Formats: sequence, C-alpha cells, structure tokens
Amino acid sequence: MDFTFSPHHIALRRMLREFCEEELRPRAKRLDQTGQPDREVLRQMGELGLFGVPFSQKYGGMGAGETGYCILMEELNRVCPSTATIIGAHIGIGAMSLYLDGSEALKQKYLPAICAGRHIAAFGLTEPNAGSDAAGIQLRAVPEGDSYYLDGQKMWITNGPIADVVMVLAVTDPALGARGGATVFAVETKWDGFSVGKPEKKMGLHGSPTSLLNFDGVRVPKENVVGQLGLGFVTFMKTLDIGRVSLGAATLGGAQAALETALRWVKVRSQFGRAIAQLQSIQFMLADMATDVEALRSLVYRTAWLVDNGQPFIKEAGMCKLLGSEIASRCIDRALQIHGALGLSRDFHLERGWRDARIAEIFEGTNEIQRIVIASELLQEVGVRIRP
Amino acid sequence: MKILVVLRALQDPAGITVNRKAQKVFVNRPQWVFNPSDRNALEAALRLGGDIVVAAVGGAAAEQVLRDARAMGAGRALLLRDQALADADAFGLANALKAVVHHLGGVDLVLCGSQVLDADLAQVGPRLAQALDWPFAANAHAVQAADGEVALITSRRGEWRQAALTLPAVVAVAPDSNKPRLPAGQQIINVYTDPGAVETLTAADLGLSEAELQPLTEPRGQSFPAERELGRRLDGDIAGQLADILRKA
Amino acid sequence: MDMDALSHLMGEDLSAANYADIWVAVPSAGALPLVGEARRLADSLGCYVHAVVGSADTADQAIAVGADRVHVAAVPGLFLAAQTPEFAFYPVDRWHQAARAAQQHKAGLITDARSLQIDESTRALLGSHPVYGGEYFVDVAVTSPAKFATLDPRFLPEPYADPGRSGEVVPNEYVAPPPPLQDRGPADFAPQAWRPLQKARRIVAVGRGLKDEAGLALARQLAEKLGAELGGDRSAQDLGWIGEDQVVGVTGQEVAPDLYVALGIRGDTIHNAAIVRAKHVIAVHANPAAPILDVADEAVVGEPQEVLTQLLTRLA
Repeated sequence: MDFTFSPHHIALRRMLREFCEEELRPRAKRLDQTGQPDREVLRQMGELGLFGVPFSQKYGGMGAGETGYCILMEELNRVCPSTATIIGAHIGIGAMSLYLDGSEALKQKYLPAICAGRHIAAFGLTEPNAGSDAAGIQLRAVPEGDSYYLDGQKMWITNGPIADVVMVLAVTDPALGARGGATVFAVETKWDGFSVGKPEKKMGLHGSPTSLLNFDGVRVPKENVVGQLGLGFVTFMKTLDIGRVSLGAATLGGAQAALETALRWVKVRSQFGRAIAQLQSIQFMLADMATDVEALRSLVYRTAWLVDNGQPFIKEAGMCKLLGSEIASRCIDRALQIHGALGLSRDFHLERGWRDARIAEIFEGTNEIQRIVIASELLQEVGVRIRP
Repeated sequence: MKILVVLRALQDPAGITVNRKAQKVFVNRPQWVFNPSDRNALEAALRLGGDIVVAAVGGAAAEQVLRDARAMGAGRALLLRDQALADADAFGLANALKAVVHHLGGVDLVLCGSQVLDADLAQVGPRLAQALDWPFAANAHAVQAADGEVALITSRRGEWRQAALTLPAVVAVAPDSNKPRLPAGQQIINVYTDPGAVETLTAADLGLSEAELQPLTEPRGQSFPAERELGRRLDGDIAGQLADILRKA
Repeated sequence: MDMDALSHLMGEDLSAANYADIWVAVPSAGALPLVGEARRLADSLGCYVHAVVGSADTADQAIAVGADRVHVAAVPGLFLAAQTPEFAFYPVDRWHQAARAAQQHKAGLITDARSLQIDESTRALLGSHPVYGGEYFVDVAVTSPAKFATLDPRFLPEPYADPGRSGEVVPNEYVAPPPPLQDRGPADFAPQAWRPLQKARRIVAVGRGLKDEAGLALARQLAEKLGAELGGDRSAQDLGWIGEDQVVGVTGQEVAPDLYVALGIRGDTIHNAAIVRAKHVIAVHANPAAPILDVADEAVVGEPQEVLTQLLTRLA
C-alpha cells in the first residue's frame, strides 16, 4: 500500500496553497462582508484551470481526477468556504451531472466554457416542497414539438444568481413519479422565461450567492436532455453520490484550518503564567481535533482513490460527507472555544468559519439522508433491502 | 530570442526553525521551493518571450523546480545531475553553466536571481559572465530586450537609473521585481506525468573536466548568531544606539 | 579572460608563488574599514596591505588606517582584478566585480564575509556567510592560491587612523575599459508595492502612544528613512491613522519582517502574536510595564515622539 500522493497531485496542491494564501485569503473577509462575488479572483481561478479540475482535458478540464478535485476543495475551503462553495456547486454537482451522463454533443457544447470558468454551472434539484424528499419535485417539463417547456421553481440553488447553465430535474411524466418520470435538462439562464429571485440572506457562506430559480414556460430544446429521458433521478443520485466525496474534502479543509489556527494561538496566548499550550484541558482539545482531522483525511482520500480506480464508493462517499460535516463543525467549535472571546470577534476569521461550516450537515443530502444511504449500502451487503 | 534561466531549489524558509541555543537548524516541514529571486528571473524571461530553457544543478529538489518552471511555460528543462557537480562550488557551477550555454548554442541572455537564500551562490551569475566573457548586471528591474540589447532599471547610489547591456549578456534579476505567475493546473498535470519533461545531463555530457569543477572552498560547518535577548532596555545615549542599530539592520 | 591569457598579458607566469599580499578595493571612503581589517590580518601574516582607491583624496586616509601601498585607479575593482593578490577584499556592493575577478583568478570567494580569519599554517581564508537572511551562517574555508572576500563595512570596527603611519602611493598607467553597463539616464521608477504588509521586510508600526498627528508624521519620516512600510495596531486604526490592511494583529495581518519598529504600541497578545516571526524588534513606549517591551530585542522606555525626534536627527 502506498499512501503517498502522486507527484502531480503534490505539485497541484502546492500551486493551490500558494494561490489560496496569496489571492484568496486577503479577500475572504470582504467577500463575507459584502456578499459580492469577486470577479477578479474568479478570473484568475479560470486562468489556472480551477473550474474544471476533475474533468478530462478532452473537454478543457484539468484531468486531475477525483483526487485532484478533492485537493482543490480542501485547499479552497481551508481559506474561503464561500469561494469553495461556488466551485463545489459548479463542478461537483452542476457540471458533474452533464459530465456523467450527458451525450457527447452536449458535453462538447457546454463543458469547454464551464471548464474555463466562462460559464458558471448550477444544480437545480431542491424545491420549496422537495428537499430530502427529492421525489416530491413538481417542476414540470411539458413536451411540445422538438422542445420541452419548463414551469415551476427551484429553491436554495447555490450559484443561482450567477449561473449561466443549470442542470434542472423536472417531471416529464407525473404518472411515473421518481421511477421513470423525471428528466434532467441543461437550461441556459439567458433563455426567455428564466429568472432568479433575490439572493438569500444566510447564516454563513455570504460570498456564495444562492437563490430561487423561476421557470415560466422556459423553452428547452430536446437536445438538452442530459442522459436518458425519464431517468433523471438516476443521473442526479449518481451526481450527488460522487459530490459527497469532494464535499468531505471541503469539510476537511475547514477542520484543518481550525486546527492550524488553534495551534498558532495556544503558543502565543498566556494565562496563569504560561502559554495555554501547557494546560491539559487545551492539550486534550487539540488531540481530539487532530485525531478527527487525521481520520477524515484518510477517509476522504481513500474514497477519492476508490473513485479514480473505478471501485464502488457510494457507502464511503456518504461517510465522507457525514463524518466530515460533523467533524468540521466540532473542530471549528473547539477552536472557537480555545480562542475565548477572540473567537467571537468578527474581525477574526474563526466566527466566519463557524457560520460557514453549519450548512455542511444540511446541503447535498442532509446527514439524516447520508445515514440512510450508508445503512442502505451496508445492509445490501448482507442481503437486506431497505424499504423507503 | 533564446534565454537560459538558472534555477536553484532550496528548503522553504517557512519550514525551518533555527535554535540558536542548541546551535542547530531544524527542518519542521521539508518542502522544496524556488530560490525566490530565481522565480522572478523566470517570470522576467517568460515576459520577454522566445525560446526559454531552464537549468538547475542537483537532484530531486532541482527536478521539482524544473518541472514547475516547465509548467509555468519554459520550453525546455535541463537537470545537471552528477556527483562532481553536487560537490562543486561557485567556481565549478559557473563553468558548468558555461558548458550548458555552449551545449545549447545561440543563447542570447542568461537570467538568474540576484540573491541565493541558502548558500553563497549569488556569485555564480557574475562568475558565469566572466567565464563567457559577457557583460553582467545585477539587481535588475523591468528587464526588456530589443535591438541586440537588454535594457533594465537598476539602483545606483540610491538613484534609479535606466541602463543597457549589449547582448549576449548575463543579468541577475532583483528579488520581488515582478509577481511570478502560478503554473496552470493542466500544465502541472501534464508536466508531472511526462517523464521526458526534464532532460538529465552529466558532467561528461557537457564535456567538463575535473579542473573546471574542482572545489576552491571547503565547507566548515555552520555558526549561529548570539541568542536573542528579548526585553533588553536601552539607556544612556539611546538615540545614538538606535541609530547605530538601524544603520546595521 | 582566463589565467593563460592574463599570464601572457602580464608577461609573467602566474603560478601560486606569485600571489602575494592583501589587496583592498576602496571605491569610496566608506570602504576604508576594509583596509583596517586587512591591516589586522596582515600583521599576523607579515605581508603588505595594498589599497586601491578611486581618487587621490582617499590615499592619505588609506595609509592612515593601514595601507602600505596605495594605488589610484578610476575603477579600483578592475585594477585589483589585474593584480595577483593572495587575498583580495572588496566592499559588498562591488560583489559582482569581486566574483568576476575570482573566476578569472580561479579563486574562491566568500561574499558578505563575517568573522574573517586567516589560517597561518595553511593560509586558507576562513569566514562566515549569512544565509536565510542571517538566520544562521555557513562557515567556509577558501583554499585556492588567491582568496577573495567581500565585506560589509557596517559590520567592521571603525579603523584606527594613525596620521603618522607611512606608506607609498605607487603610480600606474592602468586605464579602465569602458563600463559594459551603459547608463541611459535617470529612470522614473518605483518598485511595485504589490505585496501586502505581511510580506514587507521592514515595518514601522504606530500606536496611540504616539499621541497625535505630529507623532504620526515623525513615524512616517522614520518609515521613509528606513524604506519601511507603515503599519500599526488596532488603536491606530481606531484613530484613523492607518487603514484596515495595515493593522498588525491576528485579526489583521501577521507579519515576518527583518525589522519591526513599534512606536507607542502597548502590545497585547493580539498584536504580539502577529510579530512572532519578526527577526528584529525595536519598541518604544512611555509605560515601563508595556508588554511590547518584553518581546523586543531593544526596548526603550520613553516618550515615543521625543525618542523619534532625537533618532531622526542622528540618522540624518
């Protein structure tokens, strides 16, 4: 067993670390305060190829695989979760559905601009009445001639306000429901009938614009069906499965940042006549944090390896997301406690990290759903099928 | 235009701790990086454009910076890997680089950094110029080339001056004189998965004799500054003492 | 030009036996401490000290501080390169002349050499060269027949000038070749300040102990004099003296300069934690119990404005 990263992944991480420290870190506070995406830093990211990391170079991607993508998400989230979330929705679930199941023609049409960062992608699944119960979606796609007309709404869509193309799951046959009745469409946001709501005001990830999407008779040509008609759920479930791995990597970055911040503070902060690093209560917190981070790191990169090597990974991916989101929240919370009042200061980056971390236990499949996914895979291995 | 950029790799300064009391250097986080002003030299070369060749002497660390340089846009990378070269000092390294210039043929300009952080090797630049009988300039900013000349801006007795050297020439670029680009991801992946991205040369390949590589200096270990005495209160002629300290800082 | 060509030009065989004495390049009076250093080393070896000065005015001073022979040449460094020095010292700002000469003479060179010594039995030149910005030194012995070093006059003792010392000015016909670096006039240039405070090599940091705008102005003067960036603590930001990007602290910028001068900054953990990587800290504060004083290499208890005023006079 060789646990070392390949030289190209090590080199990629080195470049990403430098980019994040030099370009992202000075901007992270402002992004959180203003909620405006920073076009300049997004442009630089486009030039470096960061908008298509896991995708094949054939489509203009970086060709770095799932491992490379996890490295990207870890490094970005370590410094600026808002920016990481823009990328995560763009690559990890938005463009990913197209990449997994789109026809060659459709991929050639959209992926190059997506990989260059010229077009931002989004993933349109959630609706006001359909969150964990994704099968309850109501957005309707009615066929007419060589098009479909989409009517309805999507809600809580990351990148909604800035997306150029959204992969949307719509009901094509109400009678069949989830099994055979829903289809994924690649919808360009410039088309008539498409509009976005005001950006949501959230607890965290202020620099990651999220909104309602309105579809009022949006005409989508039938060539823009992603994957097979009626099998949209399969496409989207596959997308979410793989999206979990990089989300786990993102949470790893957040936990790692918390640990690093805490380690720096305990050296310089003195109370009771010595550095607080000398207090056992602090040492125990640090040990717990470090153990969590190490366990998560092993899980995430082993799962990325499974993906890159064509092995089954659904159960492990669910574990990455479940464990990662909970570990990150825990580590960041411990780090905040270690800093005392300073942890609550809005001048310092910890409270932002604390606010930014909470969502991970909820989006891309709540942790409750993850537990169902994991249990389902686990029980399947012993011959039991879970009845939903 | 054909440009040779000399690169050096060193242990990342951020990963080192010097313990003056124990008289030891601890490497907490082993990581190789470009000698910083060499990266500025490479950036200057990339902005000039043309045929850019990078060369470095050493082993794995040198190979890493050469690959990064290829990923940044250099067209060709030469790794000089040889025990005789590893043992050489500035004199031998200058001769080795002279041999590289002749091996390449048609080199118009050699760029390198004006400072080397971890060894007494900034002198290699002017030594190389001497060996080639080419003109040399140090601490150059805003390097440009046209009409058989390299134009640059440099500081002379506290004043910024425009200057020029006739090509071919050796120019040492000032630290922080530009913002080096980051290599794009695709380039990193491709260069690091291509074994042929870096060519290896030995002293024999370059036709170097023992006499040209013989060390003229011997390393005699490391020494350390006195331990920092924090909290030392100054008294007496404070202004005078401070002025003295600041002049030496 | 290599040894054989030089040998031919000089009409003599330049073997090791011909390298003799300590030669010093003195392009300006600022390099005179090198002559003093050469004198110190020459006395133990029993050899002559030659000083090559840029103008006849410096000749007497060079003799007074220890030169036995003085040569006047328009470009001392080049004249020296045409000689056969056993030891050759150049000031640090002529490092490239020294390096070219060393390559020409197949000589080893220690640049920015500290703690110079000569081994009397082997005649090797021993010295230390600072690395990683002076974090530590690599010790080197130069063993070639000719041995070169560049020295920083700031780190050498003020040489003892004895007006009664005798020495001779040796005439020469040397004509320096035209300089290869063609000067094309003044440049309207300022190095880009694209790197934020956290990358600055020198920082002058202000705090409310400076009292008022007059104090701030003095601090700015010092910053300009030292070629330093201006920073400050949070109190300075609250006073409107500095912007958000100039605040030094864990909630602002962490800095790692070679030199950090804290003026009127009390120094709480939030500030002090951000300067742990500063190599050299000087602090001035009126309150003897200010925490900043305990983390400074040199701590001054005094009114920052007063100390600054006097300091600026001495630095002028």
